Amino acid sequence: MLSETQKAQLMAELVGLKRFCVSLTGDSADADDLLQLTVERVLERGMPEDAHVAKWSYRVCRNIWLDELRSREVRQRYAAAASTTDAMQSGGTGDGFDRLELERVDAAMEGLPEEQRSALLLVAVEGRSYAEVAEILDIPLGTVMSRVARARRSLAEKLE
Amino acid sequence: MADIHTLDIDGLRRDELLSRFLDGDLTAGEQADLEEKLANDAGLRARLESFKHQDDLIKASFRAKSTTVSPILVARLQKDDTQTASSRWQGRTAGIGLAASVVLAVTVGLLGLQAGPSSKNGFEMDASLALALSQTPSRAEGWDALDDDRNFRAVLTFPAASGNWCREFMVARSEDHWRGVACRHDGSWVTQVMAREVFLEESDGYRTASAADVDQVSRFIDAEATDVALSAGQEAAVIDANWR
Repeated sequence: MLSETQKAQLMAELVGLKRFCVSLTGDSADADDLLQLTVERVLERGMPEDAHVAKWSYRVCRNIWLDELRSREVRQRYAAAASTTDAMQSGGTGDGFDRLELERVDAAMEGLPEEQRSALLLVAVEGRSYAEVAEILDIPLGTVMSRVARARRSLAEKLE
Repeated sequence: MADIHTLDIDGLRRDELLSRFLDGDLTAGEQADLEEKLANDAGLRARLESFKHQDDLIKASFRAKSTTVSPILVARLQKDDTQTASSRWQGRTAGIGLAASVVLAVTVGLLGLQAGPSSKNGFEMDASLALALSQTPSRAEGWDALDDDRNFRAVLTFPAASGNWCREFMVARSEDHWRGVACRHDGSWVTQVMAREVFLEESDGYRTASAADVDQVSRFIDAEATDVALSAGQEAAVIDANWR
């Protein structure tokens, strides 16, 4: 059971969690399912009173996704068509950038390994510290630094 | 795979330093060193700027994507209801460990688009409700008194494809609960869709919602919303501006 405070904190994390789901699954429908299962798992099993709600939820989310990947036995790649469709359906060009630039960065992100993409999303979009990302992804701090830097480096090469 | 002769070790180290600098992860000493280098190296500054620009593009891209969260999920979290609609994954269907025999099912009284109040389902848009829609901030739980026998909760505010503001809301009157969406139109609130929430009791477990009981309110929002729900601050500003 979650306390009321934990529920409110989880509610505040839903949009960020949704973005994380998109980065993991590369598919809008899968992201919705993953988010739903994450919330259900957290509600079912609760979390310790002193748990950091955001970190806990992101970890649950990632673990569910890893289980799903294992059960499918297929590694999904981020679908450029789905991301383009999502961007178009949003009705906006996103903070003043033109659609072509956003499509190029979408395609470049598509080419990143999932572990680099999710680390970069958590840091650059969700504003998580390296320490938080290390806890969420259950990897050493040095690995977070390396993945984020490599992701940026790869993107720079693709976007040149 | 690159071998030791082609790996750009210096480039990797440089990019990691710049990346950590962007993310505020350098020690004070490392930061001072890097800032001195940046002051004297135009190429290094350009590399940092390209990383910053990439980050801005990524943020814009992810924020422009569908980051709406299903109102069904939000409502489930608010109610701490672990019953779920069908998931495509592994053929899962509704229900996780439900032991109770009381189930919430939503029956739909779809009003569709209409220019005025309807008495079809015993619920009408009136001055009290319109005032509540105009002035009451959204909340995750709790109720505001609407009048002597009704309570009100604004759930969320979102921009619609029509260019108008819309609000999802709930009204409770004794055993009757309603959930709906109303949108601004020519200075007035107009009901777009309503659903009556009914509690059904089953003796042998629970009944999942059938295809016919799909939440029309949520589908309306999914179809009409052009962006995520407003934050508390954004909504307060819109309320202060009288929904202009």
